[in-house]
Amino acid sequence: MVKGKIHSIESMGLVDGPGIRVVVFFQGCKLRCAYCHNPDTWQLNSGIEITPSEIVQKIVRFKPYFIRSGGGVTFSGGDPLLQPQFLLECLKLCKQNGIHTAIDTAGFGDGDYDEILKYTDLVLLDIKHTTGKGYVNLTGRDATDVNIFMQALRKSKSRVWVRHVVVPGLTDSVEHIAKLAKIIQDEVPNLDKVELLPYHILGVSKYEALSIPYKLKGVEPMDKDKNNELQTLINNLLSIK
Amino acid sequence: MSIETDALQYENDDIMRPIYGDDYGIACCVSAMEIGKRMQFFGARANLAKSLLLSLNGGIDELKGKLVIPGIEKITDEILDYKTVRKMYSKVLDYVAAMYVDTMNTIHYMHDKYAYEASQLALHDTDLKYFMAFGVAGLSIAADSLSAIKFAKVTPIRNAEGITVDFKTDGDFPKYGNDDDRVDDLAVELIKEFSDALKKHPAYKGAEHTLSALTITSNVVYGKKTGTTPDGRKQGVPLAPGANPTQGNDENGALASLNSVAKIPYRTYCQDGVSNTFSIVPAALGIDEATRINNLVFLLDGYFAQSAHHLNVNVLNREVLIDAMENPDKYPTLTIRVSGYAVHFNRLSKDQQLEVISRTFHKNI
Repeated sequence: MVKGKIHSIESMGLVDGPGIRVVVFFQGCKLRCAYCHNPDTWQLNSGIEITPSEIVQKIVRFKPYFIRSGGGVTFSGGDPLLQPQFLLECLKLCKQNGIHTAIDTAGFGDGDYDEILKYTDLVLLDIKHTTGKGYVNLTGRDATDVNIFMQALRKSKSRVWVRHVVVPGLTDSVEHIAKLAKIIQDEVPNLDKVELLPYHILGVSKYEALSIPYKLKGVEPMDKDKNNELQTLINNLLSIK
Repeated sequence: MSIETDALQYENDDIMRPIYGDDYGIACCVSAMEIGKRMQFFGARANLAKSLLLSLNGGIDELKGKLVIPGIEKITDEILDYKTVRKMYSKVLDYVAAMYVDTMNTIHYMHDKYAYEASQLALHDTDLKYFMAFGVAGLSIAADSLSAIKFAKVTPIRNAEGITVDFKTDGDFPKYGNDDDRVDDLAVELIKEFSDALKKHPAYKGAEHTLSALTITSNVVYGKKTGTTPDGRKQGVPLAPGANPTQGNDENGALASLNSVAKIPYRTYCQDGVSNTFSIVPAALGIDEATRINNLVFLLDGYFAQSAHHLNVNVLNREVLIDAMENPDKYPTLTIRVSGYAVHFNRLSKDQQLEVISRTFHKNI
């Protein structure tokens, strides 16, 4: 059986997809987003080694919480697409056990997307920026590869929630959000929800512990009320309730 | 209301009603009682953690050096052997249970003699049913310590008088609060054993023995009187409250923690209450008010569906969070999360935890 590397398991995820969810944080990510609150998941060769059946055995014990709330499991990280074989095994076992599956991803993986999406009920798609230049500045990577994932997504039946982090001075203007709405309308299939995530500073202490310089030093957390306004705006633009 | 006031506790009517009928109320923290027909002789609790230390030290108090329990052979093994320790622990628990019942009988007999509550009892039936409410403290410490001895290698460090004052632990061991049956079963076994031990001794007025895992704030005081324990807890450090896992030992999030506590048996064994406290910031409950309310309902449903008894829900507003910063021990199982955030809260140092808490309340959450 294939083994994978994970950072941790959060048994009570209430903000990572619908209902009460177990969130499994995978190690490994190709991006280096300036606002990332999980820099401790960047390295693939860190964390704990575990098998898909060990993970699913733990998840299954929380079924009483899933049933009532429409919850399930969310594979996050890092980017779960970076361990395709491991992710696929986990997803298959979850579906065998009647568990709703979600993956939290920016679309940067190592292929096998068609197979993976077959067993994925919901994709939480993180759209990092609205321009090529903005994307590279924010994440350190060119956005082109995301298209490979998007093509697979359009062929699949998986539902989609789009997520976007709103950073004061970077991604919080009305124009930017309107542009994001247009991109979503044109590119994203099977859309059920858009979540604008307000920039916060809970992850900053992790950088200090890892001796990694924090690129957004001094940037204030996103104002809650302003974020709610932008959320209302994008919901209206996309006719989402 | 929980989200607004943070001052509510929830109890599972489905598991209390089959025992007590429809007309029961909650007396004294968490205990169910048929109104007007039953009373409870209250009796604080026995320190399970200290009892374990007594079993390692031949019945000698590890802080005072005095013999308090006769007939317990001192364990002199270099590495603690689980079977030996568990057998000795049973002997100590037996002795403690006998003394506990005797003490309670004395207290309540004398209380009736000199301070009988005539006016309150006038409102009750003449022929009452009685409970004698025993309790335990330090359940998580005891369970984790037994787990360390069973699954890792624990070397006791003894002083000149041969009293164990510290421990060296090599290797990993499962901890209570992670939904791991290997250690959760040890906790359940311990509760059942102590409950049975108490019931061997008749109680005043033929009272029915009940047991609770509830400490309110007494876990701090019991901790002061308890030496260093094999689970890694240092001398004087507060015990975890009630049936809560030891702070920092639950590494898989709040539901794993709740799953562990839900295994502590209510009916027959811990019928006076299994107390669990759970604290969370509003943002971690959901993205908006409606979602938060639903999520809290689903949480409670899922928890009580597993026959758990009690949950004290603290949904923390800013003022209370400031209290949590200054008194982190008052808020066990504190959940601070936002979308996609991998917390590892318990693996942060105390300073880092305080820092995360203060950042959470930086204006906006």
